[in-house]
Amino acid sequence: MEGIHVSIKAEELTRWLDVPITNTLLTSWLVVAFLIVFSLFVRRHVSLVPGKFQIVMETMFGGVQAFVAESLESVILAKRFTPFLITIFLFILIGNWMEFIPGVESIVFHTQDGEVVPFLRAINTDLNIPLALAIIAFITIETTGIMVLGIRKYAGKFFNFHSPVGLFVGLLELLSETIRLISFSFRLFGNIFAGSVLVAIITYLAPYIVPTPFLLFEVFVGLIQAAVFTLLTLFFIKLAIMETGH
Amino acid sequence: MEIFHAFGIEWKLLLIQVINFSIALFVLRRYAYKPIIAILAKREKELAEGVAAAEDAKKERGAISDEKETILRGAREDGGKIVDQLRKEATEKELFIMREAQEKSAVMIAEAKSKAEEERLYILRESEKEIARIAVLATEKILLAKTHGG
Repeated sequence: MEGIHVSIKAEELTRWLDVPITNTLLTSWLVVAFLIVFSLFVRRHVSLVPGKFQIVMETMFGGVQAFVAESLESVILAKRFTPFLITIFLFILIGNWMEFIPGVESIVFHTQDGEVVPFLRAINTDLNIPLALAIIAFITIETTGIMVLGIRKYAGKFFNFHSPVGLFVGLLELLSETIRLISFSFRLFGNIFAGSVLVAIITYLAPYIVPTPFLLFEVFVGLIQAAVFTLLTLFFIKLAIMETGH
Repeated sequence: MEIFHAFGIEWKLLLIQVINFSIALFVLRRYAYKPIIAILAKREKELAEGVAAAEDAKKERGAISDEKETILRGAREDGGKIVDQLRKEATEKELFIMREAQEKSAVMIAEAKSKAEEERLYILRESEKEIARIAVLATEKILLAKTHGG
């Protein structure tokens, strides 16, 4: 019986124009394709008199927009950020749940080097994707802070020369701001990767029935992690646009 | 760096993922969110218009009700005035008729009285004449008796 193969890196299937085509990259394209199909489906089914599907979509979108407006205390900012936040959520969620589609991680691919690797792999088990999302969130948060407060005021949060304590606190803020990139990406990566390894181990030890509750739990974890990433992005945007107290 | 290599981080993959996400965001925003936002805005507008129309209708109903009340009040006042006027006129007429009747009856009584007086005077005159005549006759009889007896 073959042992469990755990790779922290995404497996490279091939190279194209010196770009490694990994199994997670392939899965992320599938996620994007799914989201495109979903978008077109929504566009086709939207009408003034809503059907069941549209009611669900409208309620969710309206609910999220109201929540964002309440959090940011601005309807204008809510209208600007809701699409972005929902996209982050959907991208991560679909990426996490892709793992549970039969065939993902079980259909194998024979590389040119003779290695046998999974053809598709859950996207967030590759640090590249959480990190890319963290970079996008980071840039969005910082840009929003600068645009709302102005560059002087925003920089004043981190470089406060009024007192030594203020300077120290400001520099700590700057450090925590940059560390966010790591915490954001590793939280998502760690949870999903750990879940994936857990399911692999359980499946190896007891292939029938036993993995089911673990799979269900991982479905839940996938949802929670998508929500956590999205909510943290929202709250950091809120922190970025808040003026410092005196 | 070693850590990047250990986790398989490559800037090209990062860039591709950023592009992937951007494509997803662009398509979702254009084809999914925009129609939903438009529908929500339209429905909100229609709802606001409906509420405004209901508010207008309510105001209009209030105005109509006020007008009705005013008209009714006016009609009631007019009716009251008319009734008062009629009552007054009737009273006046009644008084007039009574006064007229009284006058007529007074005239009639006066006439009757004068007629009776005239009658009495006539009777008196006649009876005086009769008495005179009877007296003459008696005198004649007495005289005759005296002449015959004597």
